Amino acid sequence: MKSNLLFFLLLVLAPLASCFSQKKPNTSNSFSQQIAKGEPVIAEQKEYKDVVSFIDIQQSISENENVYRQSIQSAIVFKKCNFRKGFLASLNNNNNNYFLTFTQPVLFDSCYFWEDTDFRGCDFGSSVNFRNCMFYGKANFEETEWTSNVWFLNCFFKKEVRFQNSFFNRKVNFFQCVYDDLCSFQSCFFNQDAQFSSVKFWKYTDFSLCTFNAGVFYNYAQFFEHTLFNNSLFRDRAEFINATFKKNMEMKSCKFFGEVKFNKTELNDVWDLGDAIFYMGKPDLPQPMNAVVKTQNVKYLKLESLQ
Amino acid sequence: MKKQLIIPIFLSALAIGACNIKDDTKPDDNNNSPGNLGYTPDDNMSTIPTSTNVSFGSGNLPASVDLVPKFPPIGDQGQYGTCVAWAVGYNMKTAIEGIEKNLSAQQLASPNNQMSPRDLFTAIPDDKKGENCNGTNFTFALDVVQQRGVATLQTAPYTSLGSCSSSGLQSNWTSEAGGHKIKSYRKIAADVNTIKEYISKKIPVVFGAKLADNFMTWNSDNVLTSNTTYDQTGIHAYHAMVVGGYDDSKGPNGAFKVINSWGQAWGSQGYIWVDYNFFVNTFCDGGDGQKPLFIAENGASDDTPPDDNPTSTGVDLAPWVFEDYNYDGYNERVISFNLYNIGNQTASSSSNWDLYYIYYNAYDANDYGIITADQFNTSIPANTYQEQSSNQAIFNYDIPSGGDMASTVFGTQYLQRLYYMPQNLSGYYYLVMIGDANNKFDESNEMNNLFYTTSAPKYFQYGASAKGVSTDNKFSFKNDAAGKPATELIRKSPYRTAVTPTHPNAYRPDEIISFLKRKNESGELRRKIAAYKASNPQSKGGFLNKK
Repeated sequence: MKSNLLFFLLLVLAPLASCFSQKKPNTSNSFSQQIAKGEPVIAEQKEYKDVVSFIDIQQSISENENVYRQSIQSAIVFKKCNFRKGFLASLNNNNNNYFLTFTQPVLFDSCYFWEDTDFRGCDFGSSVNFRNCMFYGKANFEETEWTSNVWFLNCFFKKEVRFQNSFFNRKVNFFQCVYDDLCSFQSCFFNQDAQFSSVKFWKYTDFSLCTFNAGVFYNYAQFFEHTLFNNSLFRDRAEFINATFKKNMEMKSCKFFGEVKFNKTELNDVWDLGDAIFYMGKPDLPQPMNAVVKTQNVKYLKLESLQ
Repeated sequence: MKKQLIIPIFLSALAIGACNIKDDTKPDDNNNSPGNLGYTPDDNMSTIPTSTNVSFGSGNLPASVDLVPKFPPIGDQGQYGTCVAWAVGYNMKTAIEGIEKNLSAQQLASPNNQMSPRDLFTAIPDDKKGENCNGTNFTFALDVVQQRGVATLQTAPYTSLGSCSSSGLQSNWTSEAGGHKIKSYRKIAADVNTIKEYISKKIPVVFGAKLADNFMTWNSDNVLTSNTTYDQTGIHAYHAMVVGGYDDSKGPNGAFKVINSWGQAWGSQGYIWVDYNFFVNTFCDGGDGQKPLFIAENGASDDTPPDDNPTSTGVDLAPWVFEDYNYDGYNERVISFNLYNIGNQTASSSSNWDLYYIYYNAYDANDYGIITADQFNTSIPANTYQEQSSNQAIFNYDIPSGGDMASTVFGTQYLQRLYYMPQNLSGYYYLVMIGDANNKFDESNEMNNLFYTTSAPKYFQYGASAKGVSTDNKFSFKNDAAGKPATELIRKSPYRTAVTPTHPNAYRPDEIISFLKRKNESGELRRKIAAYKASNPQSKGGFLNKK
């Protein structure tokens, strides 16, 4: 009897086991099991010679036309790790886009990304920290959503960095980062303070069409090429104290609702303020002024006069 | 916070009047093609000839070109899915006609000089467009402009479009349309330098794009460098527009100035700057990896031989093929042909001129090659010839005025050659014999230098006119005219062109001649012959009726 039951169970369960085993996740490396169990992914001083990817197509749920999302419930911690062939947290496969949501904190501490990294479309539900990281490939953070605080302290970006259309809900800190190639934050939304102090922007830099809902700070930042802030909204403090703009800087059609500071700001070439509006009145402009300042249709208002 | 953006974005999208964007939450009986702003991305790009008239990679382009003053004012397609008609008709056709006629901005602002998107869209057959003015593709629209033409807005104003059914065409529209055609249209490579080169030559580029949210609500002259992935309205849409300029200093890498048809309230007064790299890599998109980019040449197309010159001055070489048929083996063929000098001067071998029989890909003439190559020069003793292979020979004969190659060389009425089709020939090709192929004589009429043995693209597989292929596609030629042709027939032969009523958009003879001239001037033609000679040593075959 017992053997018959056992045999029966084997007959029933074996095919089922086969079915489950066929549904293998395609997350690379050894993370799949931990992620499947929701356990933290922790790695220190590891070398990854292949592309590291958290994307598991089969675990992804359709979110929109051609858009699929996978939720990672594990905390992610990489310390002093080398990613030789890049890191993928986003995938475009046959016109389908696969994105990740990280519900737990994410930390990359002193890691090296030797090839392209792709975090496009990621949602970070908890804090994110890329500190002291080196990005030697292109870094794509387009359309990312950062629910909690974000740190990119002292990071180095060798190639193009893309943050377009990203949403930063809490504080974001890029203190002392170096952008060696072009850098774009076009159409980003910063809901709380954004810190870009002491950052070096070596190439074309784009902060156009941004909304800064709280303070934004570029104190001691250096911009070595053409820089754009066109059509951006600065709803609170905007500080460029001791900032350096070596080439053209554009603030066309910007709206400054809070106090703006250009104390000891170094401006060169052309500073285009065309159609900008300063709601707190005319700010103190830096002296001496090396740049040609274009102020066509600039308006200096006082909020109280509008009441 | 991000969700707070949904409502204004959605409202903005509706306010633009972008036609027929499908909202997943509401059924829309007028929209039978989801996500349709008017471009239906189903052009068969592989059957549209590629332009051959640009020197790729030219380093001498200006840093910026603005063709916008050559365009009519920004148009507004309203709620109709007629963007293709706006891009092709109103914008591109008006511009190329205006450039040709050197119209001023004021003249371009007059509906008398603006091509009507309503006429164009209405003229597209009903089975080639969506119902209720809801979308078409570039091929259908460009075919109409080529074969029928397009009327002006003065005659066919953009009002009361109704259902846009072709039954609504009015006779006065069609009669006026005949005076506003294009000769041909070509696809071009999705390459930054290629697009810039056309713009720098004042040739607008029509293209298809896949739009995302951020495009819909664009309202500045900042450079678009990325798409948003999520579309708040649930749909990604395909749209047709025109490149009307470029500027290397715009944005991080340089940008194209794109002309839209959503009125002046959208974008930057109706225009948008799009980053070069983003444009070619992502923005320009016709689905399935296609990159729909087109140019057109102004003027009426002509499917009759362009040779209408009653007299030929100087040397006038005209090849004539009597027959070309498969002989034996899969790529072994026999061709019977002659070359007539219908000019009033002798074609001397001291001029180092050539006679080629070439093939070129029906849809990309850059894929071309030599089948037979005969050279007339003085490298061998006078009045002798030397066969170097079955497909190549050198002749040192002068062909007198009124004379021909066969009687001069062999004392016969025609030459008959056993030759071998190149084994790398696979695909759809045209075959054409070209007299004075290296353009040594300044002929008053170059069009009759060509003789096409293919009136339509023929299918080859490894050099064989493939078995199992339909008769229409199989290559075999027999001239309708028997015996020695009269001079008038030589001049006006229908075999001078591949442009026919069934293939109105085939490469024109002047395109092929210009193309070969450039290849000759660059030395590429000689290199191809040398390479061909090296790969085809003396073997069986050659002239069968030689003396």
